Amino acid sequence: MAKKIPLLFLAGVTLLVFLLLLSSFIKDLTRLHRGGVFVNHGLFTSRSRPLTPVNADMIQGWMTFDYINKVFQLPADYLKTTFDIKETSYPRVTIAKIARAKSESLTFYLDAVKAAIRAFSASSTPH
Amino acid sequence: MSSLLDSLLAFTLLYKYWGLFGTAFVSSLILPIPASTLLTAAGGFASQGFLNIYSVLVVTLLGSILGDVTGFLIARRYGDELLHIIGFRRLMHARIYKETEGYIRDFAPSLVFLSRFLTEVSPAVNILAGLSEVPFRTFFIFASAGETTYVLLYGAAGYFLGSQWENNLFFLVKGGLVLLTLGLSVSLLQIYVYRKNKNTD
Repeated sequence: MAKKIPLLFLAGVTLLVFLLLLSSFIKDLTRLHRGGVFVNHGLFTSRSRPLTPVNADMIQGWMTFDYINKVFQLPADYLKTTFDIKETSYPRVTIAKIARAKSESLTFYLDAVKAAIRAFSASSTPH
Repeated sequence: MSSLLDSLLAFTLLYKYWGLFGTAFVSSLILPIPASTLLTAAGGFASQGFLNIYSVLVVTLLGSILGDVTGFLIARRYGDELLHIIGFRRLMHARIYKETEGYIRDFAPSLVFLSRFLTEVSPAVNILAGLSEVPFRTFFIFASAGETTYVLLYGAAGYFLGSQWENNLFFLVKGGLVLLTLGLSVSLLQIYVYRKNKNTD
């Protein structure tokens, strides 16, 4: 009997923690939903939402040029020409790798990529 | 973000569906890598149009189920011999080991199903289920059902969070904790029932 009580007690405690976490999770879900964080995709249509220059700040070193070209809708050779990238693996190469190859700091290189995306968008937007 | 996760994210962007399949397979088979975060990220990439959401879900599901089944079958076929070779012979005759085997056999469906949400422990459950000789049919049905639910939950979370997936990792971690505490509560209650039934017998 002495062995069973702690087990039941432990199960009760974890159940209580589960209920508390669940309630907090539901609150977060509601908050995110009301805050408009969730993307309103048409169900079963698999509609994508490409990014805009406003999202350029989310660019990170692990991202590949292939990915950046696609999600920001840039011409395939735009960043290659802008940064004079000679790597044959372009665009299937990460920003961090190119920054290392050019012996530049990642932060500096990321800022340059963000600026190039904003510049492209500004030049292609009709005035 | 951790360098391991950064490397896995870069790997997914470079190898797309093959990368997703590979990481899902390896994480289900043996390595406790952050597969949930990776799946959410893939859902986010699909939301932005870089990947296709249906392909992401199907490929991850196939990799996960194949990893589960491979771990289970290897443990069932070679598990006992391997434990003997690496010096766990004494453990295999211990009372706690026999009790664990009995518990896993008795509660295989819920244990296998719920452990799919806990990517850190599911490879161990696959191996224990194989060692405990849980019927393949039971394992396959509940592992597949659990993986399907898991892949749909995390894949859809990433897809609907879109580019915001990274800023809302806390939300996903909390979701993981909800599932962890649910799994723990159910397991503890089952152990209690198992011991009670055993004492009655």
